[in-house]
Amino acid sequence: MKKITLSAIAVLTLAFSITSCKKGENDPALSLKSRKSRVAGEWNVTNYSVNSSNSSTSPNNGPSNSVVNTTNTSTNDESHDGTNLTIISSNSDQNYNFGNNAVVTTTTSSTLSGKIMHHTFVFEKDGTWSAEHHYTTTETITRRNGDEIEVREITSETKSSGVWNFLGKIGEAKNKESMIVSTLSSDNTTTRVSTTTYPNSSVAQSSVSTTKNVSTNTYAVNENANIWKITQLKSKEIMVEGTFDNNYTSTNNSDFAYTYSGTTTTTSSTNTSSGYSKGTVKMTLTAQ
Amino acid sequence: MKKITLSALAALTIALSITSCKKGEEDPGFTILSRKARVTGEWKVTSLETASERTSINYYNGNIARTPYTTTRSVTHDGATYSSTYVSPNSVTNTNETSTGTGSVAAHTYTFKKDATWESNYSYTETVVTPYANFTQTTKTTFSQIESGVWDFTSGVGKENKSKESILVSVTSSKTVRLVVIDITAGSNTTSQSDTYTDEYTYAANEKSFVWNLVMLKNKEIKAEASFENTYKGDVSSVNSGGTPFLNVNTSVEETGSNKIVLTR
Repeated sequence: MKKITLSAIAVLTLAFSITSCKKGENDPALSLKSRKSRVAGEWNVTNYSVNSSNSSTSPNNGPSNSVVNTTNTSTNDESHDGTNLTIISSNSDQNYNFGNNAVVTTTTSSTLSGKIMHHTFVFEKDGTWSAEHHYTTTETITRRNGDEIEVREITSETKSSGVWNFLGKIGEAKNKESMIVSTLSSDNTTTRVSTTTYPNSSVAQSSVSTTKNVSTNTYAVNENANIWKITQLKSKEIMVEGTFDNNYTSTNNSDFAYTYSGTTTTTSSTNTSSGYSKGTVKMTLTAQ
Repeated sequence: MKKITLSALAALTIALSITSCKKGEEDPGFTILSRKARVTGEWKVTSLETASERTSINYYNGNIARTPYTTTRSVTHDGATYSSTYVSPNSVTNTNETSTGTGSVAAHTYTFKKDATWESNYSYTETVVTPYANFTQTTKTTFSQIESGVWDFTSGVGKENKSKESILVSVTSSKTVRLVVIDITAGSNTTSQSDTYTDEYTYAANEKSFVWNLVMLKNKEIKAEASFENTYKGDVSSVNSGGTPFLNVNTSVEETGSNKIVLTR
């Protein structure tokens, strides 16, 4: 009887352990390592995706001092598997065309392919982290029915570092289910080389322009922070994600009164703008 | 002997409890309430101090586009009296011009709930009188903001972080209404412009977040602060086919500041 009771207690204890280990949807049922130990280490980003859609509607000048609302929308899908990078974007911009006396919609889209040279994170047990993100993209733009071809090569290198921490378990959140990743320093160098050729020209000609952007940002602790929800925390693989879904509406009611030599003139107007931005960021980290 | 051992154990337990309770610099030495229990409740902001300084330098092809300039801004209130100061250089003379505002706080409250949600209500009025050479401008602002969201403690990764030392305050809904009335008087001639700005925002949880460092967490009073200190340096340079530079723009921005808040139950 005593043996059965002890076994039952052991099973119950194990069951509680299993439950308490599992925070993310895809977490291992049981791990002997603490969540901090599982995060700490050197990681390669082997899967990354950002999907976003944005929209903004705002008042613009229309005919006869009227106001015309125009809407701009865009989507951006960026993904890589640790080696190959793809960026697909589309834009739809509305403008009032006074010549046509109508709202004109212009749509553009592009697909960029590229290579990932490095995309790594190092999380230390002392609460610091560092990351490197190095990629190249190539885009070919054809103009004037093929008379002008621009090949645009972009190289971007970012080195960043900061501090990290887990969040707690207030409300529905599970303890250490999410982590806060705060950037203290970020250095980026982006080089764009545009080579333009004119294949149908009788005289061989080409031009090359190079633009280099170098930027350095520093921040205080937790001034520039992102929250990662950890959907899977294994010793060899981590999956995290973040969601953004914001909406806004701004209204301005304006009344103006001007009194000059006893005569008062008044005008009033109302403008409303609105929009949204939503999407998800997902990342898989694989131990180096 | 057994009694002495038990007493020693009890004393050690209390000593350990006292140490573990103290996270913020001004925390009480000992409390039987958990940190969550001390945060939850209805609070009135009895002191607010915000201050920021921003310095910007722009170079264009080696020449300074504008003399480096610094602006400072501060807002304080004690739960009743509101005051603000804004100092910025005149774009022509580069001499500093100071704008001060005074007003009153109608409400500034926070409610933190145990289910991790929070809500706040902040409303004040402010009057800024700016005398110019030929006229006087009076700007009256009536501000009202209702916000809500979710909150959580941070954990204790790293030697410098104590568990539950800070809280993450995430905004999920915000509605701000600002009525701004600008009156300009020049002799018997006047102009008056009245603008009402209504801004409503919603966010996903943790999309728009702030971290408050809890300097003091007592059952009846909380002191929290957040500081920011960011720098930006950007260089853009371009060369053409012949390797000749044709554009070189350098920008440098430094911004520092702090926000301090005292909540009284």
